[in-house]
Amino acid sequence: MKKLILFFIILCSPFLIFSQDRFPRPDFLNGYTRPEPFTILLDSWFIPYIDILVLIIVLIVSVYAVFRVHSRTWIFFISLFSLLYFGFYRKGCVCPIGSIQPVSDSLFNSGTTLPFSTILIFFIPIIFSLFFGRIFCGSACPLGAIQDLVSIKQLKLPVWLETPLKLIPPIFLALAILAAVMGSDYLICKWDPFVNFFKLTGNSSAFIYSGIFILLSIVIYRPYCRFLCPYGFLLKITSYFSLKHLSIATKQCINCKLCEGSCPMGEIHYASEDDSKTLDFKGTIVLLVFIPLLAFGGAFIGGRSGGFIAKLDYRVALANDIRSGIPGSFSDEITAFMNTGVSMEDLFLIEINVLEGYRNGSTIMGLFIGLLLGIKLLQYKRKNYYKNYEVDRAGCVSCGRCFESCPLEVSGGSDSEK
Amino acid sequence: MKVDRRKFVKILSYSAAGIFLLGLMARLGIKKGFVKRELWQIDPNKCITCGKCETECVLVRSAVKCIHAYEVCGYCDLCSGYLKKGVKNITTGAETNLCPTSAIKRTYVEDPYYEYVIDEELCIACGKCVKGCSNFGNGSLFLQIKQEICINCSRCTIAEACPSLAIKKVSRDTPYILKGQKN
Repeated sequence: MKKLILFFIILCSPFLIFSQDRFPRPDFLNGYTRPEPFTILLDSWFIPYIDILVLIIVLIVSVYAVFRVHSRTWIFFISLFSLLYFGFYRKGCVCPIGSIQPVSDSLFNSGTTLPFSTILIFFIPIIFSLFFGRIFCGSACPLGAIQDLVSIKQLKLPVWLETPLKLIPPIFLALAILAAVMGSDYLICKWDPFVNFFKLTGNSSAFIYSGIFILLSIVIYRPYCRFLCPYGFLLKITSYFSLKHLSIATKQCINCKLCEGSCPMGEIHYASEDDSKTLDFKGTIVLLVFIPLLAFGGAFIGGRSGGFIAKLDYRVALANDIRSGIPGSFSDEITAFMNTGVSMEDLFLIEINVLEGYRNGSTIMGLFIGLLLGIKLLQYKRKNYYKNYEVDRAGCVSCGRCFESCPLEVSGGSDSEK
Repeated sequence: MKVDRRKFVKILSYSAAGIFLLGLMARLGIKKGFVKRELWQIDPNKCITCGKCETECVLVRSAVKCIHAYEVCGYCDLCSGYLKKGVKNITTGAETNLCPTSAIKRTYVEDPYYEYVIDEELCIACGKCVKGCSNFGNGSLFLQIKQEICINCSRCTIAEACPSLAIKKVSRDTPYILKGQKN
């Protein structure tokens, strides 16, 4: 078949239009035949589907590990497998975290293609999270696994540091979606600290960036998961409403307090006798008014910062370069642009479109962040009090490190339904 | 397993939500046509041989290689993709070669034609031969991403760095953009 194509190409060679043809093509007299440029080798198209099958199997086994066997050891070995398979073998790409980008891009821009395997890899951990909590984070995610593996000490961060850091994931999510939809860049991939490790390659800045995160992960538990991961934010939402969730005790909790401090992220709610609400009815109403104010304020600030955020886009950057550049000295990009035949006016028109898109997107982003701040404030003021020791349904990544501290575990069997 | 009515309704509604999400997945798949994952390719007509293909790939040895479109080649004795500019004695010695790794092999075919073959194991995708060939020759040499080397990152670092935005996604059904073909 390939020989046929080559023969056809040679036959059509007088009619080729994309070559310079300064020198005439030879007609050989001694019977020389032109070699084939190369053989087309492609790996099987269904490899992504094998990975998805493995992902589903890993998730099912981890459900069993968390809920039936209730064993940290099981979870550890499952996450080790995930690290080796999804991380080092599959080089960490395509991953569910990154899949946010093509999914949101193609949802917004109808022309963009979206492979079915990417759709699957985006939705499957979310569906599992809706039923069983963030078991993807604890068992299947290679990024989580590498952070878990190198964690030696788990420093407790002060509240004033941890609270603002925890706000980064939704902001990053919004920014990543905006950049993907506008076709500027894949920010999640760009700022993925562990992918260089999995690909076992990279330049010096990538090495430093990854190195910093690995070092951080040694002393802080799961810094990427808690303070950066945009997909984790999505999983938090479904996990909060999940049907079943990891629980520390396999039977009815007896408030023995032995699990206090066993969570490296501090996501355990301690049992408390106090059941008074910190905020009364009037206070709640005030806060409810405050929320739309925050939302509009956020939208305003967002809209104003649209121009700045748009600098992420290469077209905006090129237009800025051209405007501010020294006349006569052209960068590679400007030279290449001038070769494309697109006029300066057209570029500036494109730039205006991109800027408008970023302003609109940033306004929505600001609205979203403002709303989120308001909801967080409400949550903080109206603290829930817990009768028994429970994990935080949104924050717990189902790593199972708290299992070892529960004495009820030892007696074995998970025969009760909570 | 004892299940009371409340729990039954709960399980039912969650299952409904799960089925809804599955349906969403299916609908999205249908709308987007169940396509396979795409591959990266350089558009040879946009390439300006800036040299970034050699350095920007995440792999240590770039997935980009120089490919020779033999049907376009002039088979010249004085090949501007093989020889450095201003070379006086045409030899196969490294001092006369443009290629820093001597990846281009020159062999005599018949008078006055010479065959130039690229040893892909040696090629580092610096683009020097491509530049020479497109500037003074027929432009039969061009850089292209080899799919058996490329690990198909979601975000191609070479694509991001390319000044002429020559790297784009292509369907698996047309895995290569080659010179000497109508695109």
